[in-house]
Amino acid sequence: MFAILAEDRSDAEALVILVKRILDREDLKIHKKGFSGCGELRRKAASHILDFARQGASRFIICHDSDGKDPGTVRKSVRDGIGGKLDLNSYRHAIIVPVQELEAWIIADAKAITSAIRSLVIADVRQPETISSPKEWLVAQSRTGGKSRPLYAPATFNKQVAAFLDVPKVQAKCPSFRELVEFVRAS
Amino acid sequence: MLRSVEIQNFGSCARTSFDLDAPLSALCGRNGVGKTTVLNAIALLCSKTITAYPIPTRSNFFLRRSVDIAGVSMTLGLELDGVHYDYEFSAPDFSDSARPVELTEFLTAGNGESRTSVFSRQGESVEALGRTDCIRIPKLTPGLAALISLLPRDDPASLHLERVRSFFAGVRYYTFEVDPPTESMISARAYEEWRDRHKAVGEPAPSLAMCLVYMQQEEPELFDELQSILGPEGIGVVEWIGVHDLGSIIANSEERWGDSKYFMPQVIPSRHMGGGANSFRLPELSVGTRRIIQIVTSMLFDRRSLMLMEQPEDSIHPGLLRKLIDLLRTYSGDTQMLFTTHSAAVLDILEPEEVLLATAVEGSTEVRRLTPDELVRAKDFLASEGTLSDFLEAQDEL
Repeated sequence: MFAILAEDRSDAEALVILVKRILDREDLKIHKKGFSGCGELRRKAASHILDFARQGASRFIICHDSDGKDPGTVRKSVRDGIGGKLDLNSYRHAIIVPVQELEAWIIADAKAITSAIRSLVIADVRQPETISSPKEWLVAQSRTGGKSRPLYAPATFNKQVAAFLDVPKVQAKCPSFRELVEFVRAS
Repeated sequence: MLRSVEIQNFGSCARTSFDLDAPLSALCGRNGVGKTTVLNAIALLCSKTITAYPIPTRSNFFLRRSVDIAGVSMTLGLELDGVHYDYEFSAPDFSDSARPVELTEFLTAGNGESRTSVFSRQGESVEALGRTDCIRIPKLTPGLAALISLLPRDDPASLHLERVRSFFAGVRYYTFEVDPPTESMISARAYEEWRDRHKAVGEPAPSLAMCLVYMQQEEPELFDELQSILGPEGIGVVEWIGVHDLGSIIANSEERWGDSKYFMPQVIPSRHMGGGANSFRLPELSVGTRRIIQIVTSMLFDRRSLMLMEQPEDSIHPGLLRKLIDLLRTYSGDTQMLFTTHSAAVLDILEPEEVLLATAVEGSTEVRRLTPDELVRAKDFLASEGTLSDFLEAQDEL
């Protein structure tokens, strides 16, 4: 059984859907916990890993945006933060670091966005992980065309778009997503 | 103490049942899962079955704007003076003209396997403890209320009936006001009229202001207790709370309001808050300050058997919440508390045993306590730096 720990609730919800899509298993039972930011994730994830393991979880996905930092440094910081409280190596896990933000994976499939929100059409982006703030970019794109309010609210729509994402397409465009796919399939 | 609840066919409660083990319990769950419906159901059953008024049906004008009890079946388990009671009430679906309009009620008393029927009612016919003959009562009159009126005080059933009635009469549902109260002053005449009805038939106070005036006038010790709880030595939300008698002021002014005497509750907020030691009338206080005063006043003044409360945390600072919940817990020995909450700050103050989880499963409300395994895991989780709200959030459906 998988357990997902992410920086916020909407990321955790989107990841649950993505793992099910990757394995094509809608019935998969997945534990999840979304924190209130990266500090809380580093501080509290260990307690949740222990509890999820007691409930039968055997594969742990810990997701933390790189937010402009080097992904390797972020991964080490997460590992050190959680590892100070438990031996992370005793648990089969992957620390997934979407380059910039998880929304880069969303942007990778413009068609999926339109499938989830019919009135929203965004340009195709070849390398989403080069956008410095994908969340802001996505919200700004959804506001173009004289709209007074953005159509895209990440906390609401990320999981809805995740249900339509073309996994091979996102994998090809986003190396960080490839790591997620490989860990999930290897499990 | 309310020990168990079973609700059928009431709003989203298709078949909802749960136990209560703690004198203070918090019902938590997402919006719309039916938490309010559960509180409403308990309050409605308790209020409708202790008066001799006919159980309202759909054709009743009042209920077109209220909650319909038709088709509802409920059982409440109570622990009163060391005796366990189960009170079961079923009302038919009055819109089904093919079915007879028959209320069904059962009240049993006893402990463990040893149960005694206090009364059982089917339609107009009631069998009561110690009686061989059936008692006939009007078809829509609650049996509990009817028997209390009909049976002598020394009847074998009366003690049980009175215990249950007394508990039900003490159940009150508090939504707490959202709009500021318009009433800052109360005329002596209005106060005296209500006071007499309150003393005679227990009419509830129509406003916070009326409660405060009554406590100050009639129960000064209780008012002192209120001041001490709210004041600097207690929760610390007020520096002073009192009731001014405005009789002489108005009598001396040019403006005559028709009554020569008015009462005006006033509050000096804590020196840590804004206000600069000035006194304020109730409508001038912040929503949060007023809510705390209202909760504490209700708790002291109403002396309820069961307080059903909607989100007592609203508009209250998390630092004050800890004091407030501790206070409610302290008083929950005499008054059982069941409240809804969406607040992580409140959940983090509670013990895992005090939490009830509400969810909607296929549109129907389900309520449950944490399982023994969840309780063990929750305690381990709390011991390793986690918080109860975090733990509960992660127990969400998979």
